Amino acid sequence: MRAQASSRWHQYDMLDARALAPSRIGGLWFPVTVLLLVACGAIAYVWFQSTTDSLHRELTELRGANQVLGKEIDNLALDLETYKSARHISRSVQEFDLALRPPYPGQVRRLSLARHVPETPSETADTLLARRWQPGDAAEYRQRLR
Amino acid sequence: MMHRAVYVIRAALVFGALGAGFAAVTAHLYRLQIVRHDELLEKARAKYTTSRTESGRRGAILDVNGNLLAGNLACRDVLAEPGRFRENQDEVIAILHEELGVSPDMLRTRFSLDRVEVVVKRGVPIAAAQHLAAYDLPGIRFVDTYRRYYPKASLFANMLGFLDNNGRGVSGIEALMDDTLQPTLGRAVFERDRKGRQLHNDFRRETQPRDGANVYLTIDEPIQSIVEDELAVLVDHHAPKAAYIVMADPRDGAILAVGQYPNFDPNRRLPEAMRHGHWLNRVLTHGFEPGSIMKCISIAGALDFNVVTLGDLVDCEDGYWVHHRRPLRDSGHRHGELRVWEVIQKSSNIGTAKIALDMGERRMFQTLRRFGFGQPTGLGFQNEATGIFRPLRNWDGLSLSRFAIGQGILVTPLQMVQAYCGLANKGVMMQLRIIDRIEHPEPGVVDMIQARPKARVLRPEAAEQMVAAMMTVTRAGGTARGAAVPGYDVAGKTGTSQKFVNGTYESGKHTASFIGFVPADDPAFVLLIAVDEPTRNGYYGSAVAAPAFSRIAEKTLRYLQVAPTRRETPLHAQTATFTALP
Repeated sequence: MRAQASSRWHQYDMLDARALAPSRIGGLWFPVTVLLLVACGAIAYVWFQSTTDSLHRELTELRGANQVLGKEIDNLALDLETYKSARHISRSVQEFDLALRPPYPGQVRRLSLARHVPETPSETADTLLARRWQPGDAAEYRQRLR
Repeated sequence: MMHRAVYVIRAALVFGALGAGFAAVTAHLYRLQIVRHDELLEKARAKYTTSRTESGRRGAILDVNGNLLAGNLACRDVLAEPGRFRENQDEVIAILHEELGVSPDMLRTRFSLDRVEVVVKRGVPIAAAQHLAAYDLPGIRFVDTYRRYYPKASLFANMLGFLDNNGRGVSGIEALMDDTLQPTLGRAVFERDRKGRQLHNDFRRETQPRDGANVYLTIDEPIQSIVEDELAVLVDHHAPKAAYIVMADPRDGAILAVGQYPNFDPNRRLPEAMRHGHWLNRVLTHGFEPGSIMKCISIAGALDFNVVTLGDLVDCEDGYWVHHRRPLRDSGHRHGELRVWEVIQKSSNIGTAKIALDMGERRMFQTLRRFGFGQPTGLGFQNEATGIFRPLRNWDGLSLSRFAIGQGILVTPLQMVQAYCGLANKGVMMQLRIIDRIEHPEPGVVDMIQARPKARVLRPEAAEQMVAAMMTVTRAGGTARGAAVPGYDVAGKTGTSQKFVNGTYESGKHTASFIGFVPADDPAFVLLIAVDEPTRNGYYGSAVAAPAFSRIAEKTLRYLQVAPTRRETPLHAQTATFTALP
């Protein structure tokens, strides 16, 4: 019996030692987590900041490229003006023997309609036609395009 | 106890030192952040911010329907800092020569100049500049800019004018409307990184650049093309020294087209063409003796003052008459008595001189002055000539008879067109104008230039009588049947004048002209064709200028869709002709 009793005390000691171990780990967990969070936050901040900077740089470059393209489009519009000129058209008609000629005087009657101002300079007869159509006609229009 | 005292002293020393340090730091921060705040902020800003000047675009010049005549081509100026070249200078020169076509010798000369930065080439196309930029040459810099570009090349070039190297207009419309077309400068401030590149944040514009206003002319580009194409045909056929064509709408004074020879291409200002004055605006600055085209003005004055009527008879002395001991001849024909309308139809010098003598000096002077001779037309060009028209006190015994037939008086083509606009518009002479409207960069702000009458030059009845007489000129028996336009009544007058060179009239040098309007009863335009010193295929106005008038008028009427006033051929025949054409 005694041997059993001494053995019980020893078991209590063991139990005490086991009870102390988890409380030490629990005490470290919080500051470590905070430190980790702070570190993660800092890394995320730096990473986002770096991404933002590179995006800004990319945006600036794209804006520059867009500006260049815009200028080239403007330059092409100037070229288009050359090709739109009456002189160029009449010479091309002769050169390619298109057999086109202006209408005979009086052939065209001027009607007093309100002046139509196209929304875009490149508007064509097709797009005008498309805009006048009802939504249900879209399938037919697509068919036409095919 | 001993230990405790030591600890207290040590702690006091440490805290005292820390406190003193903290106080020093605080004082320094106070000095930096509060006392020298503004000064240091400015210093820092100067380091990390920079500014650039931004320019708007020069306004465009367009015709009345918005066809572009002068615009801006985006391009780049290439600049070099020879001191920053890392490669061998010869290698850089070789690359620049290959990419930009600038001669190596010129580049070497420029790089040897004692300047930090030199221009390699201005106005380089963007694609070429980007190609060069791909070499990533240190010391080569690109500046975005615009170059004036004329998409229609030589079309209307003399009137449009051109710019100098500083972008200021030096002649023509570019000079006339320079203040309106000029853009204003803006200033943008931005932060930059260590390498000087713009950072995205905190970009602001201190002043916004403003584009120049767009100027719309009264010119109609298709009509201008017709005029210049026919002018080229005329020049090819008659090889003149110079030629001018001016077309204006007599109802509102709008100038529809101005053709000039010689002309030039403002995009390629060749030194040869510039040296010989091909860029000059001769319709504004060149005066010519009008000859017989002045007769309509003189006789219109006589009709207006009721000195004569169209049916009155004038003795034309069989083509030879001496007045003030100087002979006056009717070239090419000998007529006895002619009615006043026949004097115009046959272009009799003697008949016109006699009518002028009946008018008297004062009335003739009044008439010519009223029609605007001797004064600028008021278009606004600084260098516009007034011609030569002597004041009444300087007239001599021959002035009356010679001025009436267009001798001894110098007029500009524009003055003559203005005067005939008065005849065509039932006696009301409209102010000539070439600017139709000005479109400002702010949306919806447009200045319209209103047409306004300049003067009543004739009673309507007198103008109608003169038009009736002028219509006979292009019909059977008239001097300019070649100016007739099938289907339309043309009122006009030919002119052939000898040139006055070094105090005498030279027999071999002439100015051939024709001026008229069509349809005669409700003119769509007045058209003047003046050819200076034609050297081939005749020199009379009827042979040189009248056929060109007919061709230009026919094409322009077709373009303007003016229905024929006379049906010379049955309509079905016209339709058949039209449909049978290829």
